[in-house]
Amino acid sequence: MKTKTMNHRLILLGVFPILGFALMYLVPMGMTFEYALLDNTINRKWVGVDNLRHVWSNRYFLMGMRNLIILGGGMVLFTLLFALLLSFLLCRHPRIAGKAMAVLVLPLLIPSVAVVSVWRTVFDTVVVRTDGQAITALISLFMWKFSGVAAVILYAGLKSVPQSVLDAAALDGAGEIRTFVRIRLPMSGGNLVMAVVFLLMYMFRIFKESYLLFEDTGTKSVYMVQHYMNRVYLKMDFQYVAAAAVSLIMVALLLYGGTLLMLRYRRTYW
Amino acid sequence: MKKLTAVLLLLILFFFVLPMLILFIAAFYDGDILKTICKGAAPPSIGISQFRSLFGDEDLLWHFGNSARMTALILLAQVPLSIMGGLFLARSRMRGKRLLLLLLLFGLLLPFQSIMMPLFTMFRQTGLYNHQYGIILFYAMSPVGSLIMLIEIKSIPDDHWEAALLDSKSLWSILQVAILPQHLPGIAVLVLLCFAEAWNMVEPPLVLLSDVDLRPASLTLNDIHEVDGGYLYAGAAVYCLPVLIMYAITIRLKKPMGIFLIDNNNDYKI
Repeated sequence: MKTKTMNHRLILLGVFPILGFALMYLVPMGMTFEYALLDNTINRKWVGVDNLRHVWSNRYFLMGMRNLIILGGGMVLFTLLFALLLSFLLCRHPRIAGKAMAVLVLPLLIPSVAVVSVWRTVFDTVVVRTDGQAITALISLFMWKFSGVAAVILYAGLKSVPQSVLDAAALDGAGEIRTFVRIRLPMSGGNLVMAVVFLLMYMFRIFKESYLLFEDTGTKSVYMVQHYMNRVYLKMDFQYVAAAAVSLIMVALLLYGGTLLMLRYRRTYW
Repeated sequence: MKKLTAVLLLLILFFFVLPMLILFIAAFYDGDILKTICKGAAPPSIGISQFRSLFGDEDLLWHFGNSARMTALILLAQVPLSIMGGLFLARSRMRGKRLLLLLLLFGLLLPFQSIMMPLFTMFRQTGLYNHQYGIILFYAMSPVGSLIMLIEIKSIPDDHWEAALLDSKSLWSILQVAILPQHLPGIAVLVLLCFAEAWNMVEPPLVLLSDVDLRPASLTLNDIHEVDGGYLYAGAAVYCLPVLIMYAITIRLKKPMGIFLIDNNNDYKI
């Protein structure tokens, strides 16, 4: 078959999933931006950044945003450090590592609802909730679920460093940790950035676990932006929900952008 | 020193398995064993009567059925669509393809909250609101599947594709002979990941299905906490079983490292 015919067939084939994706994900995204700039869905009067200004002056939204960045950022940091430690250990013991993969990937696949039943009782998240308890429960759940795959991503990159380089380092007298930090990690081909992006992606979805753990009423420290959005959604103030969503998207893009910028300086530092 | 780190690694791996172990052990107790351990309530006895109560709870079984039906339909739609999308992204030559890929990644990275409100409006207007088919369509168009298949197909060099083109007359015959048999492990991974995502759905049904009778068990499982009878953990353990079974099957087909198709030896030129 000619390449050109095949190309046409492939494009025809690709129309279905791509169009469906655009309809279900991209179009609503555009509509969110549209709603954020309008008065409300009935009047449709242009108000520009007024909605954003209103949302950013609401103390609940600010609480949610502050929690997202501080708590979320902290979670990602701790999980990343733990994953780094784990990947270091995996590098040292490749034979255990081969069999460990199966275990590390599992937490991501297990339905949240099932493990949350254990977490709810152990961390007592339903009735009595102090700030420290809530944060511990959420961070431990996040770390358990995602550090495994983050470690696998890191390990895949670390494994690909050629043995000759490692031997040369050993000859020059580099110890295990120094080899890890100075040679393996920088040569891991951007996997560190991949792991960070992966963790960031799930940090924005932490609301799911938070909702399952604490139901609708979290304590102050775990109140997320999405809680605010749900509240306003119930009041039918769609323009504020949209403005909050837009703010969320902006923060997300900032964080991802920052991480990808790290990729540009990869050759030098990471 | 090396032995110490090996022990540490094994300990960490044990902690990854621990929550699931706890869940499965707790499932065999008549009451809430975790509450006993953590708060000193009356100890329940070991038994299987809670399983009898579990399978007698028609409400819960109905929700399990909802989960099963929605997940089956989602898989039926998502797997072919993903293969089509992956094939298109990997093998076709089109001018805007890189931009499309970027948009797919963009759709993957953002939280559900950014599109939940327009989806709500869209579904209401098209009559899909409060119908399971709306959720099924939404999940079927997820970009994850196409991206997974993209990586999977890209892992086979282009020469195989060119050779298949020369020998075949139609796309369908190429699919049958060259693509599907070769990529079977990758397709198994696709099925596993799509299954895990659908089995674990929380936010879309929360927003888009107002009728509790339509909701899947991944939302309503924790409601049986209020019911006395202590089969919460049994229910959660049973809910985990399908994922575990599929995982066990997939591991036999493809090594665990391949689960996330992370292979640093390939240079992905798109």
